[in-house]
Parts: sequence; C-alpha cells; structure tokens
Amino acid sequence: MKKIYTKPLLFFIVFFSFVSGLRAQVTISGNVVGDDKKPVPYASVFLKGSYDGTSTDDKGHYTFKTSQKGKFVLVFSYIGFETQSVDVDLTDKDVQINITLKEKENETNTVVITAGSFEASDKKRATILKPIDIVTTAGASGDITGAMKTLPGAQQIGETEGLFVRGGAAGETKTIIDDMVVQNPYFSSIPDVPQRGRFSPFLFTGTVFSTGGYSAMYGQALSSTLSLSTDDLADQTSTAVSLTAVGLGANHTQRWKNTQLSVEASYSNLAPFFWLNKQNTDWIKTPETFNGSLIFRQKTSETGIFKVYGTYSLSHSAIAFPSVTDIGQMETFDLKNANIYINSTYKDYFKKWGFFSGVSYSKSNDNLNFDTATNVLVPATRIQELSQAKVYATHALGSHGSDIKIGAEGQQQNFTDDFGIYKNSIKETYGAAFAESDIFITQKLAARVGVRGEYSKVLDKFNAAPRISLAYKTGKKSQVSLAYGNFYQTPDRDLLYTTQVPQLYKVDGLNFEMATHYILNYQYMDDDRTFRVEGYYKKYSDLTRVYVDPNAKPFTFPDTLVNNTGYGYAEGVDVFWRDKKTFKHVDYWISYSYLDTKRLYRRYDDLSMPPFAATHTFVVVYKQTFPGIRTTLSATYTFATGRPVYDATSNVFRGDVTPNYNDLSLGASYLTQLWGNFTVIFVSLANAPNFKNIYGYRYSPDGKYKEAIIAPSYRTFFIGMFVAIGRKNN
Amino acid sequence: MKKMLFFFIFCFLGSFTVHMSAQGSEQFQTAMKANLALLDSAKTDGALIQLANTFERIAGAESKEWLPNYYAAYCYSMSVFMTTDKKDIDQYMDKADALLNKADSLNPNNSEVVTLKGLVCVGRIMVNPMARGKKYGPISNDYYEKAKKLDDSNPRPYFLQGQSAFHTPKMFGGGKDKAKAFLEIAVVKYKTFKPASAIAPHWGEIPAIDLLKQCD
Repeated sequence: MKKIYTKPLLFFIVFFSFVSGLRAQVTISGNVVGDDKKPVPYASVFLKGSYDGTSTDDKGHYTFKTSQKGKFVLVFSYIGFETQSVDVDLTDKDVQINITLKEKENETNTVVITAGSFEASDKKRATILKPIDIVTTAGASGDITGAMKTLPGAQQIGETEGLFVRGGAAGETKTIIDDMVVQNPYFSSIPDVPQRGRFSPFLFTGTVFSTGGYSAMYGQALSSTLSLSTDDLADQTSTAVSLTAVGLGANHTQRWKNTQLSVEASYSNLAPFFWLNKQNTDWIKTPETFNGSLIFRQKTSETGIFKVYGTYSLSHSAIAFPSVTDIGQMETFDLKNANIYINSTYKDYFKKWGFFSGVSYSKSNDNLNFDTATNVLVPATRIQELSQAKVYATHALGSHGSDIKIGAEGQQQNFTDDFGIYKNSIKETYGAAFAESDIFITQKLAARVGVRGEYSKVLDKFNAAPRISLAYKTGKKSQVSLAYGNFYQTPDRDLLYTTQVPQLYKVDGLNFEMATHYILNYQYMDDDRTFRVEGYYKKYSDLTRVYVDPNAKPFTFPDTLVNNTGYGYAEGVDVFWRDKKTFKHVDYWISYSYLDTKRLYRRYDDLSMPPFAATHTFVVVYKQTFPGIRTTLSATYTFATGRPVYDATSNVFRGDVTPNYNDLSLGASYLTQLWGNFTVIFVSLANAPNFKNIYGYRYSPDGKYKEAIIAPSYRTFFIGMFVAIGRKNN
Repeated sequence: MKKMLFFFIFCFLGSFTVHMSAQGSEQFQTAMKANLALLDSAKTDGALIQLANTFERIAGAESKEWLPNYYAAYCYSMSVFMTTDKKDIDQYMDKADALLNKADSLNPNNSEVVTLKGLVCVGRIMVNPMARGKKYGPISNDYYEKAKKLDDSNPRPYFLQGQSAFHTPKMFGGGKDKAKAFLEIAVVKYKTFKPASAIAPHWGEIPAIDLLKQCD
C-alpha cells in the first residue's frame, strides 16, 4: 500500500460528504395576484413533488428556501382559480417569480341567460325566489300563482284564475311540469270565483316563471310559461299530515335505496272556512274536493331517474248570482268536476349526452247545471283530454357549458262541449320539433339560439319560429340580456268550434295566432340583493277575430266572420328589487310594472286596452323572522290602477274603468312540536283593511243596469297546521 | 490501495443512500409533527388554509401516505366553521372530498377517513342550513354510523354526532339531551382510545368535554 495517497483521499471523502450534507439553499419569492390585480392571500406555492413551499401571506407575498437543484416545477394554486405551473431551473441564485392567477369558471362569474325569466330553485345559488318563499308569502295562500303575482309582469286579476302576463290573457300562459304541458293547472272555472292551482308548491323544487322570450323547448303560449320541476328522490321516509280551515290531508313517503313511493290523499270542504269568513258569494253547495295522488321515482343509474306522478280529483260546488237579464232573480251555476293527470318522465346522462323522454295524459270532465232565471235547468258536459309525448337529446359542446338540444313532441287533444241544444267536438293532433343551442362565446358572453316548428291538424298549417337570446356580463355581479322570438298559439277551442257551426259563422281558414317578443334587461345580483329592470315590446298579429260582417245582407246567415285579422301590442317596463341583507332577519322585495297595451281580437270592435291590463302595478312583500320565538311574520301590499271593463254579455266596452285595486295581506308562521313531531302553524289575513275592490261589472243587455263583480269575500282569514311525523333528522 | 479506495467510496455512497431514505421518512415524521402542533393552535380560517396547503404539499411529496391527505381535508373542513363567507364553501368541500377519496384509496375502510367525510357534509350544510340541512344531515349521519362500524373505539364519530345534535333544534330531531347522550360516550372513548401513531388523528377531546359541560 502506498501511504502517500490515503490521507488526501480520506480528507476528500470526508470533505465531500460534509459539503453534500450541507447543500446550499436558495430563496424563491414573489407576489401572487388575481386577474383583478388584487393580491391572493393563502395561495399555495410549492415545488412539485417536494416538501419545499409555503403559503402567500395576506398581502399575496410568498418566500421560502429550498436546497433542491435542477429542473423543477413551481406550482401556484388557490381555490377558485386555475392552478398555474412555472418551470424553474434551480442553481445557486435566488429566484423571483410573480404570477397572475386566472379565476376558474363557475356559477357566479359565468354569464347566465335570463332575459324574460325568473328562476326559483334550490339548486342554483343565484336565484330570485326559492320555493319556500312561495309558501311564506302573505296573500299568496300557499298558491304558486299567488306568489308569482308578487313578481313584476303578472297582473292583479281577482275575478278569475290564471296568470295574466304583460297584457296577455290567462290562456297565453302555459303551466309545465317536468317539461310536460299541463292541461288543467287550475280547478274548473266558476263565474267570478278564482280557483286555486291544483298542485301544492311542496311538490316542486324549482320554479321558472318566464314573462316572455322563453325557450324553443316550449310553445303554444303567446305570453309566458310557468315551468315547475319536481324533486328527484325524497331524502327519507316520512309521513306528513295537514289540517287547515279548508280541509285535511295526509302524505306518506317511503324511501328505499334507489326508489321512492309516495301516496297522498286529501279532502277539502270549505264549510269551516265560510264560517270564519262571511262570503259575498251565495254558495248553494259549499265547495268539496277529494284528491288522491301517487308518486313513484326510481333512480335507474348514477345519473338516470324515472318518475311517475298521477293525481285524481273530484270536486263539486254551486253558486247563485243575481241575474242582469231578469233583475231581482237569481241564476245558479252548479259544477261537478272529475280530473285525472298522469305525468311520467325518464332522464339520463352519459358522458356528453343527455336524454329525456316523457309522456302525459290528462282528462277533465265537467258536469254543469246552470239554471237561468226562467228556471230552466240546462245540463252541460265539457270534456277535455290531452295526451302528450316528448323526447329530446342534449349534447355538450366544448367545456364551457355550451350545449345543443334537439327534440320533438306530439299531442293529441279531444274537446267536447255538449250543451244539449248544441254539441261541439274537436279532435286536434299537434306535432312540434325544436333545436336549440346554448353557446358560451366567452365567459362573459353567451347566446341561446333556437328554432321551433309546429304543425296543427285542425288548422292544417305549419309554423317555424326563431328564438334568440344574448347575455353579456357587464361586471362581476351584473349583466345585460336581450331576447327576441316568435311565439305561436293555436286559437282556443271555443274559437275552433266556430268551424263546426257554419250556419252562424263564416270561418276564413284559421291560422296560428302569433306574438313577437323583444326584451332587454339589466340585472345586478349578489347573494343577498337583486336589482332587475326589463323593457319589453310584444307585437301580436293574426289574432282571431269574431265580428259581424259589415257587408252581410240583413237576415242572411252566416253573418259572423271568424278570421285572423286581429292584432295588438303590449309594451312596458318591469322593475324588481330584492334585499335580504340590509335589515337583520328581514327579506323584502318590491315589484313595479308599467304596461301599455291594446288589442283588436275576438269580439272587440276597435283596438282597445283589454280588461286584464292595468297601467301601473306595484307590489311590496315584506318578511321578518324572529328566530328566538321561531316565528316569521309577513306582509304584502298590492296596488294596481283601474282596468277597463268589458261587457261580456253584449261584447262591448262601455267606457267604465274599475276603481284602483288595493290589498294588504298579513301572514305568520310558527315552528313548534306536537308530541315531538316537527310542526308548522300558519295564519293569514288577506285584505286585512277590508278594501271593497271591484274587478268589473256584469251589465244588463241595454247597459243601464250593472252588478259589481267582487271577490268571494273581502277580509279573509285562513289558518292551517302541518305536522311531519317520524322524520329522523328534520 | 485501490481496494481501500473503492471500499471507502462504496461505504460513502452506501451511507449516502441510507441517509437519503432515512431522511425521507424522518422528514415526513418531523414535518407532520411540526404541522400538527401548529394545527392544534390554529384559530383562524386563514391559518387553517395555510396548514391545508402545507399538508397537501407533503401529500404531493409522499404519494403513499394517507395522513397528509386526511389532515388537509380536516383543515379545509374546519376552516368553513371559522368564517362567515359562504362563497367558497362548496369548492373547499369538493376539495376536501377529493383529498379524502385519495386517503381512502391509500388506506381503505378507515374509520377516521369516513368520519371526516361526514364532517365535510356538515360543512356543506353551512352554505344554506334551511335548504341543505335536510339533505346533508342524514348523509353525514350515515357516514358517522359507518365509521363506528369500522372502529367502535373511535370517539370522533360520537363527538360529531353530539355536536350536530347540540346545534340542531329539538323539533328537528336534535337537542341537548340527545347531544349529551352522544358526548358522554365520546368522552369515555377519548380516554381509552389509542391512536395508531404519534401523528394519527387524536383531535376533539377538549371540545367534546367543553360541549358536554354545556349540555347540563
């Protein structure tokens, strides 16, 4: 062994290991900001795969030391932002890297197509009304339509049921459940007594009230749609009973792993309600209703769900009202109704595809007996039947939420009106196809472009309607939207019946009625406050007119023409403000509508403002919660200027205008327990100040005598209780 | 001479690699212990997010360890209870769920991971208690029951059930009596529970005792 080599070698080895153990450190530092140039605190900054890294401080500044050498990836990440990686080559020099993080696309910063619609659902964070708001709004009496009337766009009509939107008649609004149209969303009409909706708001998890410019997925509504969605599977097995001044009901829901079965029965009798509230209406038969419903829902896969909803109801009521033809005498109207509605849908998703199919069946059978003052009992039957089938497929385009939808639907309708002396019957087959695409051009600009084509066998005509919406995000919480579209609707069945009475009516080939919508809106929305202003112009054309032929020779029949030469317009501005933040535990909203509308349709002689339009409408809804005593108090004040009065007997406007409409309704709900079960008690006082509102007049044939049309009761008190039995957690 | 040279180099390299791997798990243990100590004293949501970042970094460096993923999820879950800003809660809970899924794949059927999944659901409820309570309440309870089945000696599911019952009004199925029943069991189990290591989950004893006092 050569001794001269060992010492330097040993020294070298020791020195080398010492140095390598020490290893020089470098500092990596910098600043992290978002795309709004504001610092991002607590962002994670680190060398990928190593322990070395840190978080930015509350000023967005970071600094850390590392002994790593060579090529590494420096990662910057923070929730809500796109993660960024930067390649670094670590030597013995300090590194300074500043970075700007881009916000991730999500619900709150992405533009949403909203022109013409109010959405209320539990799913979307940014909504206008949640379903629970519907039930706690004073004056709505737990009725969905009642709650929609507190939003701008819906007129305050007290004499009959339905949603009258932006100068449109009730028939111009369609109710849709799970994408399937509902033939009879309200109980059958009784003169001057507005009927409630058939469906409880508790059935639905989402409500979209569209005041115009609605999607190409729907048609046959000149003005608007009320689109209701049911829940997927209920959370758990539960039983609920309700006892109110109008009746009682029970519901049992059984939940298995992927299946739900619910059964519901209710009986309604207004006798106790009439005892509490003196009625203006003279009830010969107090309204009585039986209702039974069944819900079946099955989760077919991780993403698929099959639903069936069926409901059957029987109702009977009768009224007497003063005659205008034989002054001093009473006429009677007795109505028995049987109604069945079945709706079944199946939905599933697979990768980028979505698939929907649905069928529905409705049949409504009215047995009427009306007794004119001459004591001649006229029995009549009205039958309406609707079968509908609909399919559509969706396909996601790109990764920003863009998609395309294509679908088709068919409807078969049978209408029969049998008044003994005359009988009318219509069979209609309707087909439609639509294509629509939501395109997110950028995160701030979105467009919805669609087209809908329809065919009606009774009219023997086709139509094709374009629908376009654009939305642009002007700021973090605000956006501007505009919408344009054509909306067609087959004339109502009583107009279609004129084709079957050639001795009275000369029908000049009926066509679809049409409305063209132009809508522009600005919306500001954050979690607790919403401001929305919307301007619209609706041009009506091809409205059906029924009028005496000016050229007809006297005493020759038919002398009445029926054609689509009617037209009209509706324009106005709707304003909405909601605030849940400023006052603690207080939620309030204010709606104002300005409406200017005229139309020449049906039996009108001239272009006139219709009786279901008021120039100014103003609604304030106020709710305050008192958590300590588990109570919510609510109040709703409604004001509307007078509406023109139309004499329906002689078909003329006599120049009368109703007085202004005023209402102040109060409500309270209280949460408690009954034998350990979750209970809600609610009371409401509609029209608390006892305003004597007049909705119109019924005239004698010479117009000299008139009867005011008023509500069935003025101040109305309502009380109810709801108990949830056997719920494990809420 | 040459043999000795090679011998020294071999030893040196050998010790070097042994030093490296010992340094790996030693580094892991040290880092975890240090950050767990910080976790015990973290009082703000900002501090918890910073700790979550650190645990995620460790998880990225140690791809076979379930604990850093678990603790990162724990930090995100706890952070939502320290803030009134509801904006990002769902995103944090999604992140926590993803981390727990990773932890679960590294250490399946673990009672602590399942318990924390339940706590993540409670975090989601915070966004809108009225609307989400009835959906996520039963789901979180199912997780706690599953966690108990996997390891009944684990006090944490009992503690969280007690905590949920304490903050749920009696008419919704909660209340102090129910809470007391759960918390009493939890407190007993905390006394007898033996964590698998110095860095295994051991949180919740003091909050459980404090909450039990408030039940009387």
